[in-house]
Amino acid sequence: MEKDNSVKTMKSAKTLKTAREAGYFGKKMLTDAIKAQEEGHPIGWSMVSWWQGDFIAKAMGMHLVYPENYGAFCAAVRQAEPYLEIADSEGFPNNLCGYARNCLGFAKSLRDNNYVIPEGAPGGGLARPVLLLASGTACDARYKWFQSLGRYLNDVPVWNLEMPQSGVKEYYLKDNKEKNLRFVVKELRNFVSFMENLLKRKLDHDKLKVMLDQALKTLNIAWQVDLLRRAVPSPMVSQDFWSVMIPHFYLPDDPEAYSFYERVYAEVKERVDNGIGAIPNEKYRMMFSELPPWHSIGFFDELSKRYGIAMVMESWNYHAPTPMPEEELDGVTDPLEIIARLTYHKWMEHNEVAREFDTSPGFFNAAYLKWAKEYRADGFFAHPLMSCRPATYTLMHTRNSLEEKLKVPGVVVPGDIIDLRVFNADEGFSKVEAFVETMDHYRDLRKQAGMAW
Amino acid sequence: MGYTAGLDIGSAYSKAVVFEDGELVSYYVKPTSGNFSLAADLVLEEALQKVGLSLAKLRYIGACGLGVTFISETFNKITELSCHTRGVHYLMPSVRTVIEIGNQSARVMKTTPKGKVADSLVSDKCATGSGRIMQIISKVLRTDLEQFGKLSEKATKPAKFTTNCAVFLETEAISRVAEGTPREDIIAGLNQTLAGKIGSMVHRMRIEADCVMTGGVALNAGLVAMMEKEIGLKIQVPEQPMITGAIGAALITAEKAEN
Repeated sequence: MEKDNSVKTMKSAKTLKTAREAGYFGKKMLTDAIKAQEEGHPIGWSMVSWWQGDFIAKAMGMHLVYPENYGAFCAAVRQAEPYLEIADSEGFPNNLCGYARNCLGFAKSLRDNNYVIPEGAPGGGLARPVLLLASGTACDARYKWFQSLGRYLNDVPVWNLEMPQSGVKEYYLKDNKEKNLRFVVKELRNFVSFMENLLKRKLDHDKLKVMLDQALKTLNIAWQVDLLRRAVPSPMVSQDFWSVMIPHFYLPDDPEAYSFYERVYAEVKERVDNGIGAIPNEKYRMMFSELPPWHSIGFFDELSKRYGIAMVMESWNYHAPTPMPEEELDGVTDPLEIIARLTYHKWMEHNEVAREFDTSPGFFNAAYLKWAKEYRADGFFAHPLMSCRPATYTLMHTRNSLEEKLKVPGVVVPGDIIDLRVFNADEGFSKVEAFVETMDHYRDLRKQAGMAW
Repeated sequence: MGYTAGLDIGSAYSKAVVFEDGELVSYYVKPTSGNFSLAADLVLEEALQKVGLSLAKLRYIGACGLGVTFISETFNKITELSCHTRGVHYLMPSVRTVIEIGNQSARVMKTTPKGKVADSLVSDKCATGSGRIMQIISKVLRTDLEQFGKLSEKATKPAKFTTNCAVFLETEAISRVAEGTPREDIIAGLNQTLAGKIGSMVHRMRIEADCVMTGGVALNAGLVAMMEKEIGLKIQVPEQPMITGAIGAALITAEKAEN
């Protein structure tokens, strides 16, 4: 594919120095995998599985790249459209997940180039895999996406990791959690057997344990950064987070990611200690949901500039979970069980809030009810995606919940994660301009109701 | 405070209003006819002429609408949602819900007692529920839009449309004509379809009385009646439902300039 340098991007300037440096990790994942392949190491394409499969694969010497992250990367540099067009021409519908379409388009271009990454592929491209590691969590498209890749990556096996996604009431049923955890551990044991067979090598449990310890440390410090973001004015905005998240989300086991997060923490803490806001004119604090328009993150810089809007919290799924209670890990020595508990905790941790507010599901919905208070949110920015059902169908419910239960209104600006052809920034500005009045009105209502913010 | 003008340059109609010290003294409405820039110049000129003013007398101009960027005079651009709520509040201060159906889209807005946007919903990226459908069908039926209201009252058996899509509605309307369905029934059926579509937006907003309908489509009394049935509230229509955006643009601009 020819690289089109004339494409105009709408990148964010980002407010944190560390956020401007975070792109290094995205590129590192891609280039490390290409180098590893040249050295004869196995490559896996992995869906985001909230760490369910990543550490195991990596501990067995596999280098992982993430097509979802690659989709975001291609969109951010506005190079996704050629892949989307390939997917279109292959007959994939344009209401299919943008990440999937980008990946399918790339995979076809890889096959057509005899499995040599075509020149000009953004970020160097995805190295040819020996495994497609799929996940049954989050959305329906992910069940079929990697299977569909079989058209272009013949003979590459697909392994699907499953995890029960209990509803709030079911979560509290007697023994439900322990049964679910047993199921996940069993899944992981099966995955290990499969990997040992595929790679003809044994899992090094000690190595896995070291990686896991490192990952828990990284996730913990990432969570502490989230806590700092409760400050007013907000020391870090979504435009920063969407860059900074890459190391904790994809590489938490990497000591370099941890060191990076120490610097993020220090930079954000310094702002909090000195009352410095990420944007100089913070007037309104908004939460963003769910997946951002990666091709137009600069849109949010403009919202800050025009209306003094700080995006103070965002997409629950990208955030490091709260640390697991100590008793959760008491006496647990099997790293597979620790992984199972970590992933399960990530998905279930908001059930307590969901129960308090009598809402469901805990994921995709309840987190925002908790954060609205903690982060003193004035508004909710809903970004429905033509191509993503789970990240869309919950939005209206969350918007209504926030308005009814906490008097926090929402504005709906549709778009797409990858496909900039369906995002209209001007329409978005127009809606938000009017929404500023709405936020003022609801501030008055919260004040009348004696609410804290 | 002096004179302030407000413009709403829409895809079908351009509207201008003139305010003197906070009082509406003149307005003018004319078809945009595909030339935003010319329509903006002419409509403003006409509104000024009606009260014997020249452009030089204006202190501020506020504007909104699809063609706003084509206005040649210096002006403040204001978002349409804010303009319509403020404009309605000026005309009817007790109104808390505005259903605005323009040529391009339908909007439902809840207003605060001060005429600010309390909540809003816009029909996005689709001509469904917009005045454009009315225009298309009026051509199919070779009937002026102004007659739609009265004709639909004569309907005995409103035609059934199976789609909300503007493109397919046109196709279906042609089929109904070919089948010999009376145009009164076609118009009533169309009103029913639009009322259902816009009604679902209204229900999502959990609206409050008083309720008003604005935009050119509000002149279709048949649709207003069906909307009333659909949402279970009496709907008021201002004497001139097309100028609320321009009124709001003038008021907000003056307000911003004075503060």
